[in-house]
Amino acid sequence: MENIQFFISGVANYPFLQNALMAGILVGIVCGIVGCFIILRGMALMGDAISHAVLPGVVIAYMVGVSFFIGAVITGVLTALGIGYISQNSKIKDDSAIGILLSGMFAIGVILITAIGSMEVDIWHILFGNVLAVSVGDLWMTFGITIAVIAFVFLFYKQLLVSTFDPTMAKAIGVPTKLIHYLLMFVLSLVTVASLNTVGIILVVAMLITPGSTAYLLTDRLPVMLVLSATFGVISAVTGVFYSYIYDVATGASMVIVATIMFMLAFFFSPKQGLVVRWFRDRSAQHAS
Amino acid sequence: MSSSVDINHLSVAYHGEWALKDVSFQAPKEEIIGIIGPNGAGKSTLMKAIMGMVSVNQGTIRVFDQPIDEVRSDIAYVPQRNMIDFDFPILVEDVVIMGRYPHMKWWQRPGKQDREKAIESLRQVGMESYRKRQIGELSGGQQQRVFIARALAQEADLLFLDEPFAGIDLTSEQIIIDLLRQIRNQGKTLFIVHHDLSKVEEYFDRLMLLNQRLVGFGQLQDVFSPQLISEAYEGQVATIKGNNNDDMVVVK
Repeated sequence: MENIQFFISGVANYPFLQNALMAGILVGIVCGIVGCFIILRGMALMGDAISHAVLPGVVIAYMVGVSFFIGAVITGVLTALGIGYISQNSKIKDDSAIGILLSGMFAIGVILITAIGSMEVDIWHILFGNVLAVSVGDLWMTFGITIAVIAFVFLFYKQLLVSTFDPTMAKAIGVPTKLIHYLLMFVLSLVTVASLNTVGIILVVAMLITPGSTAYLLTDRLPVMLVLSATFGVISAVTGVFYSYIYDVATGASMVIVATIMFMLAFFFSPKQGLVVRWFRDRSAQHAS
Repeated sequence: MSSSVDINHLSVAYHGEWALKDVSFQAPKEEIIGIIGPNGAGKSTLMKAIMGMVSVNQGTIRVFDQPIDEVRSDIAYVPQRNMIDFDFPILVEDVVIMGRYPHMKWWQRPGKQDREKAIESLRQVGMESYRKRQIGELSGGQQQRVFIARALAQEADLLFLDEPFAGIDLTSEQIIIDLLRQIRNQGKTLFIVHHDLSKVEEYFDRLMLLNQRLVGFGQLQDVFSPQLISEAYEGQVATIKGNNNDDMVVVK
């Protein structure tokens, strides 16, 4: 209780904490929504690759003096194209192509950071986030990305649904499935940039995959899954910021731990899929027979 | 009478290898047409070509005397069951409503009429009472009927079914073939990709034998002969003399 009061008074008094909380909530929403499609399309690894591939783009953007945004989107989408190109034009499978480009791009980013040797770009902050340094400008950018992504999913819901569920039918009725794939990669790069300060590059994949997977265990309908996933994202973010403020630990990691605990709860106790629930059901079925 | 599908000298290559070579045929309307042939014979390539999903190297395809892009919404597709993720969070009625998508503008949402059409289609395949179930809760045969309902909701005149009887019990198979005949009798044309030779005579009005090139296309009695079948299957077939002068065909 005391901790909660302490946190609330902190939020009331310190703009940095307000910004951190707002950024966390936005990241929770946007990652939760995009994550659902990433999970259903079996692209979790792809999400990991794009988020890592954003690193060199961010560093180059910093060196040239343009927005992070532009650099991140360029290297993110180029990596997605590269992965597709390698797996279509050689016998290398998708997951290997992803692994090669993920680590290659990430290594370029690390080399660039160490080469410029600047004190202003702290590699630790890009990799793991620095939620205390969220500026008002960052917040607006995150807000803009969140609105754009929600609008994208809302406008193209039908196309996203059919191309995810039945790609062959989608192609047959003239839905541009390739374009949708690359638009999603583009969105993934945007989401990674939006999450840079809050969770950082390394852990953003958890905010994409974990709340969505929790929601997946709890519902049979995509619209419900999207809402639940965004909600779990927000709960993880707020609770994560809370614990990191109270105990002075890394914010991104705290958010991810909360998301993981929620997933474990759903995994063991969800009414339909939960392991514990299934165990009891099987046992009572055995007794009945 | 005009044709449903009219193909002239169609050739399709993937990565420099021919999948289909110089295929020409004219298919009539209002029939159930079976497409059979060994693995890699280009059955699905042919289907995808007619649905406008693969780039064609040579030749022309016309559906109902028009180019494919003009008639896309008139062609429905029933996927092979193993292509679908049945854990997907979607209800039966939402799957069927997808059949309405080709009739909507890109920004439109399904309306009341679309919903009613979906329910009517589910009623026609006898799956109305399952409409609020998640798709994975149904049996294989029931899932197949839901996808047929989706094609009906689309109000398409040409239906492609990819291995509709794969992994389905005999009772369901009978229900489905009855359903398909009923659909044909409503004036629709059905192409069915089928991989085994059993039931061919019972199920299809017309047969296509494919092995990259068109080995045979026509009435059952003309095409379903041991010579043509062993030609299509390239000797992977043994012909056994039956007791009552019928040739039996066995595919290895």
